[in-house]
Amino acid sequence: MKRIVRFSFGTFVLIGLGVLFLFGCAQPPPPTQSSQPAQQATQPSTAPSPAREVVLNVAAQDDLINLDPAKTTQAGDRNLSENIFSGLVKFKPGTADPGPDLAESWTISNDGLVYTFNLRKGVKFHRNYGELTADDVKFSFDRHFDPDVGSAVKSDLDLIAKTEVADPNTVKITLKQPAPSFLVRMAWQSAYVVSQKAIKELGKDFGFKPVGTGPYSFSSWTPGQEIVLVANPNYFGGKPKIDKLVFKVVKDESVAMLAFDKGEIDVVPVKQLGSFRQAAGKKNATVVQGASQCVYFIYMNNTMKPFDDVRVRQALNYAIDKDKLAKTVDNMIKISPSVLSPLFPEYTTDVEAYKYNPDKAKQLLAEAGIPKDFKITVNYTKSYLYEELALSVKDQLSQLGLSVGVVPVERAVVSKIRSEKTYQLLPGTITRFDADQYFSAYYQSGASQNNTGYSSKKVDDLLKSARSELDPAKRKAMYVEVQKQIAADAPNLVVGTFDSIMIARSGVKGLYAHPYEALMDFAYAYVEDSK
Amino acid sequence: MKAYILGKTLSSSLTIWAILTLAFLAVRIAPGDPALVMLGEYATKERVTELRRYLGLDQPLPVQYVQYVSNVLHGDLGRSFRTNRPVFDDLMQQYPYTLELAISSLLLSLPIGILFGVLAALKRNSWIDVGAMLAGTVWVGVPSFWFGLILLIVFSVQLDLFPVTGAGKLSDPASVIRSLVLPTVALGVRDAAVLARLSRSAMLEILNEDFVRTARAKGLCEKVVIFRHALRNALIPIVSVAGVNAVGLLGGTVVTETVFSRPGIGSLLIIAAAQRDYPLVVGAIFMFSFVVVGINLLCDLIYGMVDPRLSIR
Repeated sequence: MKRIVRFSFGTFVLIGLGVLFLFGCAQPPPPTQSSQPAQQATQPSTAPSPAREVVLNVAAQDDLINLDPAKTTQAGDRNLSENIFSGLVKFKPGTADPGPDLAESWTISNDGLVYTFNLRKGVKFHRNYGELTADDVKFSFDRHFDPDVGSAVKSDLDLIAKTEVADPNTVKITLKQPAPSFLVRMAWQSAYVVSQKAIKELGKDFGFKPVGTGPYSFSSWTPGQEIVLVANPNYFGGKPKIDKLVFKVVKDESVAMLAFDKGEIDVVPVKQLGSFRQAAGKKNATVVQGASQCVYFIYMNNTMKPFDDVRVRQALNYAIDKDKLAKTVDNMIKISPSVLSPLFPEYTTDVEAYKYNPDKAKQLLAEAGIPKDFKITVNYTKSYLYEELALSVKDQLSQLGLSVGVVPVERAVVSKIRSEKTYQLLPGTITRFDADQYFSAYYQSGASQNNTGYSSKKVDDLLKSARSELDPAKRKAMYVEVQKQIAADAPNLVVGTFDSIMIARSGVKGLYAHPYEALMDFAYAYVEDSK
Repeated sequence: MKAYILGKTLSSSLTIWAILTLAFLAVRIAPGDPALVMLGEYATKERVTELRRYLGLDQPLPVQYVQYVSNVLHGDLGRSFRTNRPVFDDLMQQYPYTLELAISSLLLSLPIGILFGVLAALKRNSWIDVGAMLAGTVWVGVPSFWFGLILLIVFSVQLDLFPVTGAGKLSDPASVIRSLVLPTVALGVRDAAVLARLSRSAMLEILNEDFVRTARAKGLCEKVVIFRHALRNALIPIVSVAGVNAVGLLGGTVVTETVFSRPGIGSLLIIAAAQRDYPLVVGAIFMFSFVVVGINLLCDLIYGMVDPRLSIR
């Protein structure tokens, strides 16, 4: 007994010493990766202003993962990239309509195959990485197809056959086939232009010390704590009014709201119901809210019985009162009958809307031979509004007499059961900017992202024709037909369009609801008294 | 003696190897594909296949295992799937934050836990005893996340005493301390509750021992009986448990780090596990086991030297 006691005591002492030793060893250099001296970051050489520095603290749910445009797939990185990089074109604020950015103008050949972009002159990369040239643009696109780069997003650029440098300020892009949606794709983050020189110099570190031409340049990163961006004095759109953006890593949205109350954070992107409710009641705060291209669904597994029967899918659509669903989430989702967001030019409401009709639902279920106590499982992850939707669906379907269970699962498990089609019902979202990419990725037969396993020859044929149709009216008519057919086949339950929402301290102006759910663009932001 | 050292070193190495193997297999058995998680909406079949090849996940499991163990033996814990940075660098960036929180919590929980435990034992069935034990029982049952939020609302937002987020800046030690206070309380008070209950029972047991009765019979003053005889002996099992708790604290900071938006191994592990970042999860477990097993080995070797009977056995 005595020996054991001595052993334990000694163990404790040694553990303590070991821990102290490790602490001492690990403490030196502060874990901040800075790309430039702090002084240089906060006092741009061209405008040494004696005025007070304007700093905005922004809540970031995720830490920096990788800001190389070829590697950026996560929401947290996108908020940073949006402010660091520029593309040839950019969505006009609050719309999904591409306007000039690095390209001042462009022409499209009659056959719709060749896009010629005229670059803005005198655009400078951050941190003295030189002036933007057409070579940088070619390099930025070509590298996605280099296997050594391992681009995660090259499917966004797979329409490109080749990129050529016509002269230092002109880039010619030839497509594999006519694609009216190409410009929209060019406005998304995968088409951001990077500095060739910086990529070659920094190598893999580029993802953590990115060099772009956007309104803010990367300054420093303290892992797990904050990422600092500073105003780019040479930004071609004019130096931003905010001198410094500090993205503070706050993993929990409710804690971010507390930090907002305390004054530690000035802007919080809102994706959850609890924080949305809090935001609505706050004084000295502005809620920026607007439609996005993110659509909420309850996916149904079309490859699994009984959801392979269209009558069952239609019955569930009739059984759910969508107004009630929207109220459950305080109208953060706007009810819509179409699988597209109203921000798409191809959007239509002329589709089967499945108005709430429980009798019709019961009748269809009876016709399909579904027993009254049939068991259904709704899987969901505890993020966004999925839990609220899953619970509301359970309540409503239970009223129909069905036996419904809800099972929360991890995000990694959701991606697996969605990919392997081993779920029954699953809340989910889709955000895409052009109809071609949206439908071909999510509704074309056999497409990898076809989460429901839906298949319709009519839809496949229409999508194939619409993809290359250069006449906008004809193309729109085809996509309207696609929406009608999908609504009739009811592969899933369309809830509606998610609003892009953020809460900002009163006085912070110039923010807008981005079409990409809660993406934050600070290019036009300013603080009222410092304007 | 040489055989003893060799034996202990071998058994420790085998322990680490077993932990490494279990961790390696466990993360791969867990449902979910890192490539699917990483690619998100870009997870087309072709991209998933390409990424799996890029990450080396297309290789058969035994090949991946041999490759991984070989790399570890060469001091390479691999690169994080998510960030593509060396796992060792990622871990070392976060360790200081977890260690400072674990140590400060220990410094808080030890005196409070022992003080209330001993007081409760000495004043058995008094209001101090009942109060301390009731508070301890309630405290152990209070969800850490909820308690953390309450601390933030009261002391950060309402009273404006401490920051809500972050871990402070090393260039400003005061900011480090201010940001450490509430997480320390959240983590330490819970640990103190456990220690108080343990201290009470250990002290009660000792107070009934013959040597305490003898000390009192000798006419020693009560303070000497309590502090020199009873407490010193009661401390031994208490400190043993505190030692185990100290190691546990290192891994028990997960919720605290999330609520207080602090960096650290706990929050890093949560993200790594959620995103199926195999190298980071296995690397973190490996490093943790390396420290614990290493310290135990050191203890065994010292005992062997101090008490030669052990090495002969």
